[in-house]
Amino acid sequence: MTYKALKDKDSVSARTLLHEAIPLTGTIVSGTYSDNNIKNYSHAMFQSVYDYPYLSSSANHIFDITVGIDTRSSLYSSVTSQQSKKKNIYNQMAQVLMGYDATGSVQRFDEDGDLIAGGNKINEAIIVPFSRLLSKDEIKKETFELTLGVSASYSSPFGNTITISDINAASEYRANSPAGEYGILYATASNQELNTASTHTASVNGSIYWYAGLLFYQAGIMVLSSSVFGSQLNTAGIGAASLQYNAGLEDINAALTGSQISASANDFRHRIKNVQFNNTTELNSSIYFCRIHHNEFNYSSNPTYVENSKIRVKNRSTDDPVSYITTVGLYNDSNELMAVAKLSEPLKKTPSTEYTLRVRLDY
Amino acid sequence: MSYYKFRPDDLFVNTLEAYPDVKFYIHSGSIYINDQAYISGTYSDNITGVPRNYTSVYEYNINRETDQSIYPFIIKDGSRTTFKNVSITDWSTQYNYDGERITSSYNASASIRRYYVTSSNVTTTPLATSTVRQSAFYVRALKNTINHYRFLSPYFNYDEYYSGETNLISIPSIFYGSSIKKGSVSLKYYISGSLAAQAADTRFNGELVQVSGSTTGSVIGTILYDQGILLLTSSAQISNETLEYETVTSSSWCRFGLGANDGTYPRNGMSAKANTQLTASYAIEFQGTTQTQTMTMLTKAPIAELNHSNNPTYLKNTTKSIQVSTVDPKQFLEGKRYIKNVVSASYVDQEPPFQKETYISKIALYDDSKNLIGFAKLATPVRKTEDREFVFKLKLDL
Repeated sequence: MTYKALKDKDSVSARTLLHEAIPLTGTIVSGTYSDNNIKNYSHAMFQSVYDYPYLSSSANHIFDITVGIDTRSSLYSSVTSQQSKKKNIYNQMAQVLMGYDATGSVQRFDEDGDLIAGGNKINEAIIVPFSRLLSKDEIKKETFELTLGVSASYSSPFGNTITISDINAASEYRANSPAGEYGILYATASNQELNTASTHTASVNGSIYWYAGLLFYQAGIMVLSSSVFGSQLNTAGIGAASLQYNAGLEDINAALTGSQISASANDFRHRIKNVQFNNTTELNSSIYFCRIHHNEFNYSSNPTYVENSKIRVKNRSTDDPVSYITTVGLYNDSNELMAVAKLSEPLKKTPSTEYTLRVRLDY
Repeated sequence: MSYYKFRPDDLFVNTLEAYPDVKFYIHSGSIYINDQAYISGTYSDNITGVPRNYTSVYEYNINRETDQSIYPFIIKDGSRTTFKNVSITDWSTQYNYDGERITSSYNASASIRRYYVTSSNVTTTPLATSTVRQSAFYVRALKNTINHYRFLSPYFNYDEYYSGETNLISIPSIFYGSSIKKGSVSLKYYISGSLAAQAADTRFNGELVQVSGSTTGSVIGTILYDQGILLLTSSAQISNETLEYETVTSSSWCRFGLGANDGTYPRNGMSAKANTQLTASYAIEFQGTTQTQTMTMLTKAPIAELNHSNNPTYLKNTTKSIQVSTVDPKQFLEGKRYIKNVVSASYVDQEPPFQKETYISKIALYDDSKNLIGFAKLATPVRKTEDREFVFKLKLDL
């Protein structure tokens, strides 16, 4: 065994991005398990969704659903159920995700993320924090897609659908949030389900879209505007004056004001057809280039290298020495062994060969 | 909010060693891991998405259709990073450089496996085409490792004990961590539901000693603790009854674990009873060893410090804007703000003497550049007065 000091240029840090594709069909969140995978709490402030009945140890938590309403919303005064909780949830989420303005007030969710220009605010929001198990370090930009059923009928919601995605977010994300970067969610529909006369329209890459909410990538939280079930919809497109959001056939505004958060969460799940996104995990590595010159590492101090005081692999004194490299040990300044890299098979080393062994240490 | 620096004695790292119990029960080709039953799913006979007899490593895709599975991928780039199951040749030839996805799967599984080697298998050349002879590869590969532990026991002698009939049971490290705990191994051999024989490593040296049954006291094999390998060599008869093992024969430790992913099930040429209700069953019980590093941080709230808060609610006047009382060319005076007196009073009509006190609700941890890297929340806020001091003990699993 021989020690050889690594030089400055022999080590380099590298970063690898590992992604996961996360598909969540609507049947998981509503239907397949007869809501045994839905957990409601006595505090009634949010609802948790699992990918399997949550009493099973195999179940994974996938996301929560809650509802927040700002006090400046036109609906706020008419909220008859859990008014203070809906207000508190909005304020809590907004202060964490949007921060404060110059006067110290909580910044409201902004439809296009342009806080200086003003514009429409999202005053009534359906908030979906995804599990860290799924979002990992962050949701990958421009991979998010949510398909919602917007048929007017409550009983058959998926006759008409809209698709909500973070189009263009890889280059057009916002960074003015204390919780990291966020992208604008845009809605689109193929059969005129969305109203072109709505105040929520936007132009992206020359096409018309509708502002649908915000997606906070590092926080893994989707803030969806309730308008995607209300004022954005085209009555001709969905075949009725308004969408029946709950089993009582009320519209979204009546449901948000008169229902408990858990009931609104149930109604939202009822409209989810599909959710999918990719996540990102950052893996850091150190790469050490262990350079072996022709005149190095040709002998071994392994006891099996000699036999009867003679080098086993040399028959005559003029024969070249041979060794087989099996392991690379990495030591610190005090010559303490820190890590070991094993070769899949021994590497024959003679004075006529040179190698650079690339050792990667992931952490 | 005040910053304090940790002193050398305030930080220390402990290693927590735990010994999780592990149990395998093997019967008629089925393995039950830690007494867990398998639950049939909509798309397979096991909701975890891996075959029965195996544990799911990730437990990610619970009862999911194949095309709805969560899967990892990386984008091929110049860093040459890929998944372990993608060879260098495949990486070079099967994926384009235009940012193509290299995908893998989360339905990874692990389980114990038995390799039975007869005397003739060991001495003849192993054949890749013969499953039985392939098993001999595994035993032969352990020659150096077995001999290495000779200092523990003379039974770690490859040439003397393992060049004949050998029953090797391999346990993946996901079940035991860094090592199987010495003295915790117990093997139970049941015939017709009754305990016919039991072996344990009672000597803590890797020898598996029979502790009940017909040949009590004899060494029936050894265990490699760090490698998770059981090597059973005793062919002494445990019971008079003959059963349909590899052949119809009497029970011995060399037959232990039959059906543990060893290719014997389903059993062609054997009776239906042998396939479903072989009367022999086996239990392997042991404790693993896991090590978790824990950093303990002692954070101190000294006497006469941390008695003021910058929280807006600490002051009486909650008006947000600064009240300027005096502005002239020479001076700028802020309006007076008074600290709210929160000292508890015995009477409702009396204000108690003022005393500075705060309620500590959170302890934040910062790095050298004062970046917030973590915080600890107290279950209930702690009242801090000028004459009180506290030490908060924070623990962080590394």
